[in-house]
Amino acid sequence: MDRVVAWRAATVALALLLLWRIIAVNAVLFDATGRPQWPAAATGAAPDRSALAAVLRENPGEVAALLVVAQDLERAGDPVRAAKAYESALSVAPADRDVLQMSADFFLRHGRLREATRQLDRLAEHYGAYDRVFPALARLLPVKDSGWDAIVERNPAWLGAFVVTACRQSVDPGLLAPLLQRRAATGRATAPETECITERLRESGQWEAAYQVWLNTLPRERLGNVGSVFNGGFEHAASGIGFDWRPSLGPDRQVGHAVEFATTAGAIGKRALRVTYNGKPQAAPAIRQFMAVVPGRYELSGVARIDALNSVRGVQWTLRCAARDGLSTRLAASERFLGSSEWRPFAFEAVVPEGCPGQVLQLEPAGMDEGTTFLSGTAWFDELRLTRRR
Amino acid sequence: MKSATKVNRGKAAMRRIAQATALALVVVSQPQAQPNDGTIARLREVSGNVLVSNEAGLASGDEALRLMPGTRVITTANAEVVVEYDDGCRVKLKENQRFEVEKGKPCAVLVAQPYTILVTPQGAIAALAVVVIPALLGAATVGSLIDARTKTTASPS
Repeated sequence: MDRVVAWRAATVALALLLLWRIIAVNAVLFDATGRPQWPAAATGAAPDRSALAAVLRENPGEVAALLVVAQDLERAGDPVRAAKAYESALSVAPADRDVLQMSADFFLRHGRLREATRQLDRLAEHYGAYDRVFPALARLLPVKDSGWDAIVERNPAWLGAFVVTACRQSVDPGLLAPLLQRRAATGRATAPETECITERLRESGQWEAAYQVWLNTLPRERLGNVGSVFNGGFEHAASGIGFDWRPSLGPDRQVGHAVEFATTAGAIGKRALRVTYNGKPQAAPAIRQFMAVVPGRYELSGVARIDALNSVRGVQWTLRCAARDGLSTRLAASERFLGSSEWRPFAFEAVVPEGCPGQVLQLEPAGMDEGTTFLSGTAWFDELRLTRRR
Repeated sequence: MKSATKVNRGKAAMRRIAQATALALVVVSQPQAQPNDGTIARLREVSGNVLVSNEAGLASGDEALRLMPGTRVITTANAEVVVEYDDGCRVKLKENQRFEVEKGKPCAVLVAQPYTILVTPQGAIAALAVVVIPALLGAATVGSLIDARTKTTASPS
């Protein structure tokens, strides 16, 4: 008995839905008195209205005809009824690709940005079409009341792809940062999104904003103690983005060294930084980290253990002022590490001047600026800290 | 004799009670004693991740954490906090703001000092009229549109 009742209810619901569609479509074609609302004037480019009307009489849900009606109405200078036709088409087929595209175009042309954004959201959600949809959404991003707030609130899955695409296509990273923040808050932010936005901010000299964006993507458990040197104890794997450690990329045989956060006896905690040089020429730092500390006097300290590091000049930690053009000014350098030694502390002073909003700490061949050097052996480092001195 | 002793004990007790009450009143009437450690403010109403600078970087700031002059307080996304000075001045920070604890400034100045680190570029906000959005799809005739639709697979609707 329940099944029969349910079946009857479903049938009635379907009938009501069809009736509603018929009413909606007829509201486009005819006015309250039953007279056609079709524009009287006809041009050579106008569609065959009688054919359209016939199509719609036979099938009020024929969205193709509705779309053409909408276009014709707009062309005839009647955007109000054209909007109704698009709205009817959307109500009949809310996820139809043509309906979404054409209605979005219409709403964009007529400044109805929230409605346009809603359809663009659905297009991206159901069909991707990122190459078409994303440029439109990117242009809407800085516009007030464009409907982007609804998308941010909804936090759809495609938003990550949009953030990365828009970032790489030079959309202002300041506009993208709130999107990344929302995604980070729900655990959806990906490394490419974080990397692109923080890099763009950093490269444009917005170091504090870059640091804040990156901070906002860190998991809560990593925020308990964010050292000026992040992960100076090397206990966590390097992410390679933002203000985390960036080991040099490339195979060992090409770059001449291998970088690991490895377990070893004598390390403070479980792991320490191990850099193994294979005797090949070295021309770049093995590992580096960007920082954004305020001007002042500092001491960079740590512990080091050197295993048969054979080199004329050795390796050293340097703190440099990172410049926008990629060049950097050396602010301070550690002693040169070479030969062999057990774990021992080291420290050096560094002064970060005014006008240096961003810095880079890196382990480099000593005298790197003087030219290529050859290195073999292993260097271990642990507990790197940058401490402010008053 | 016994009753006199009792009376004396009673008087002594009353005296002690009165002294204690007087002492309590003195203590209560004094301003709250401040720690003599150089701190001049504390965190209140901590909500979300609030970071406080120290010599070696930033650390989480908890409710009632005492703050020295020169300390920077930073709120992350969705975080808020109040920096409450010992003189009663309250400086409220919203999300993504930075504030440096300073000594000797009027409260009105301090309250206006929280600095927003992430600012949406206002200059990029464009008027509707000048926004040019690329068209997604061109015009179509009923014939071609219906033809195209009968050849494609059904949409999710």
